[in-house]
Amino acid sequence: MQARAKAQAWGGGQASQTPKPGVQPLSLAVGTHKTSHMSDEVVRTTGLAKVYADFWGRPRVSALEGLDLTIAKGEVFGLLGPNGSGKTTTIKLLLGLIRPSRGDAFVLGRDPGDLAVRARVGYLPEETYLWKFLTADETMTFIGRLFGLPAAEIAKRSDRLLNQVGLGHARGRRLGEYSKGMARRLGLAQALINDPELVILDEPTSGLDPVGSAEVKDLIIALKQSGKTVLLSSHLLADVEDVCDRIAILHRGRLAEQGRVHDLLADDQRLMVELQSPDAATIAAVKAAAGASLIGVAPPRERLEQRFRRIVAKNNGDGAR
Amino acid sequence: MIAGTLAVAALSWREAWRGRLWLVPVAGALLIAVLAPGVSAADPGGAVRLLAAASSAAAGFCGILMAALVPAAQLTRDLESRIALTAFPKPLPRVGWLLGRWAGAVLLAGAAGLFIAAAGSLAVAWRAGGVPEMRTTKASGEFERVTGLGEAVAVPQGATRLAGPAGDGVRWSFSGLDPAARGYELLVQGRVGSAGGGIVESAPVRVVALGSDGAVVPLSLDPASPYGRQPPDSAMPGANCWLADRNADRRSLAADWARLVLPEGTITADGRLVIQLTRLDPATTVQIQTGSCVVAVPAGSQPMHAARAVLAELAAPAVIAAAALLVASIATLPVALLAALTLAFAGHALWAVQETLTWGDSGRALSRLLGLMLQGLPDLAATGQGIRLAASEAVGWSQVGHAWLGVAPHLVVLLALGWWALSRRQL
Repeated sequence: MQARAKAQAWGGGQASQTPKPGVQPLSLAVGTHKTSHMSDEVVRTTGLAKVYADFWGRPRVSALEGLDLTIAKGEVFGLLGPNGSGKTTTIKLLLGLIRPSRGDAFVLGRDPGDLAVRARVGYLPEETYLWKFLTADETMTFIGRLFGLPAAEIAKRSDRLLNQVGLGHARGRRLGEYSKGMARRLGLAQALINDPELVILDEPTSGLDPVGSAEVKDLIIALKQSGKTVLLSSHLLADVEDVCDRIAILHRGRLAEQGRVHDLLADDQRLMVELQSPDAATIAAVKAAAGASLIGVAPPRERLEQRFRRIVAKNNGDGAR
Repeated sequence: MIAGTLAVAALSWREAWRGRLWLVPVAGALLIAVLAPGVSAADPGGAVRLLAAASSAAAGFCGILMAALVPAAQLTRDLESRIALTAFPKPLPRVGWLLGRWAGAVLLAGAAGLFIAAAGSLAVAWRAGGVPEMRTTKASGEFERVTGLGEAVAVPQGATRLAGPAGDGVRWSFSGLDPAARGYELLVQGRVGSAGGGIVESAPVRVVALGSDGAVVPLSLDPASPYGRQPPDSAMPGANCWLADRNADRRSLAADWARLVLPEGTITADGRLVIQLTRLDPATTVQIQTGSCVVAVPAGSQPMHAARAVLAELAAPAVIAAAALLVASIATLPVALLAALTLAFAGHALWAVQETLTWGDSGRALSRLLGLMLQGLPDLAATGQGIRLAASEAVGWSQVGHAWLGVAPHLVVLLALGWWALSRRQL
């Protein structure tokens, strides 16, 4: 509930879908690329495959084989898989950074390489790759200028986003002096400078402490509430489980499983009963009623992440956290 | 795309500045400041000319060094440190990124060159005792030989040798001059020899302007002209100029030409001027050509011309930066640096390649290779303006345009290839 409440507060700045004053409406930049037919599909891939080749064009590694994927508008979609399963390759294909060997990919109904599409997508890479000699403010300004945003709009968004990710106090420091977690937060802020419709986050909690990780999850929920679509790639399955509506599991470049998180994790064979301060007689009655089907009775345990956040919030004097 | 490209150019500038690349031009300027007091030359004004040429060379060298190092280092860092993963998904095409890096490098090279040129101008002004004036020249439209009897004879070859009895000479006709302009000078030089085979240091001549009404106006030597002065222990009635031997390599407008003052009224209302030179000593010979007499027009003080010279010389760093970016798109930093510096050296040595071919003693394969070099490589030495500055010749916008037009085809090809290579680069 805390996460949801905070998510609503963060989402307030992101919810607007109308073009900002002075910003060119993205729908005007129409190209002649191939288009997807489904208007509510933000991402669609059909038989997407990628074979990496060497300098001479000889095939070396098949990173992705025949991926069929659909992400609907407003979804938080998790992309899971072990190392080398093709997650990052999929993301690069959806960003137009590399070209597919076979198959098609559509983002926001268009070719991923389309500049009009890129203007509507935010991306946080797996590691934070930024310019160490720039300050956070300068980085945001530079990224904003790459999107063609007016200076006043950049300043406004930069101010809001840096405060949201907790870097308001360090905005004038050069990134070379940043910790990994701070750089990660800045990476997240730069991914949102263009108020994107699709946010692609590759291991967004990598390098963050538990509080930072929780804030990122809050942010993802806020993005969803403001109508954004989020593609999340992560190794941290608990994070994915907390925020994703649907997931796809890749294995050795192939789609192993896909579906709603709730459906995939549902266990029809077991039932959990929670009791508030039960006495011994109540427990005994429950045990008796369950009979041989009882698996176990134990007090619920708080998750370590919840406890960590509570302790940090208490020491910060921030009861709300 | 333009806003994004300019943002990348500004990023390049900031990156270089914060990487303390400003130390390079500062070191260049300090070097000039340290060397300026010790520069010496055999003839008056030689030290100033040497200093002007050295400053220009230092600015050019610094520009080339920066053009080779900066873009290659920046683009390989973008690609190898994977910053490109953050930058390239943004709505700026890769050609915009490439052009931004290129423009940033050219701006840096230009700024460094201007800084060194400013230091050089200060040094030149200090050694010259003031800011030197630069001149543009106007060549004559007609050139005739005049016999001792006053008969005009055409000189189809454009050059003639005055010898034999005194009284023969040459006549130049200029047109298109501004009769109201002030500060015009007449510059004269020639090759001088002895009729008897001995050594002659100078030949006395008489230089006059001929009015449209037939009036003869003797011209006087500018007191500040180091060339053309009457040697001690020499006398020749009627002489107003003593030509010392000068060849085409001695081209300083301030020091290697006799500077004669053009009084008011010598230029006709329609902008014409006729100059006649008469040889006075039969013991001397004077070799004169069409270009041995020019009208010099004041063109302002040296610093502005030094700045334009930097802009002209910037054409060479621009090509080198484009080559560095092309190679950096497909290879590592050492390879990109090697390629850029090789192009810089080869582009400055095309004259040597030309000479080697002229000698004709190379093997067929080597000759073919050298021929391909001549056809394919840009002549980067041609963009240099140091000689003009040293000769007090004005560097105009036409020189800047000419230098850039000379390298434009190479620039376009290199940047287009760089775009192609970067767009195919898989991240």
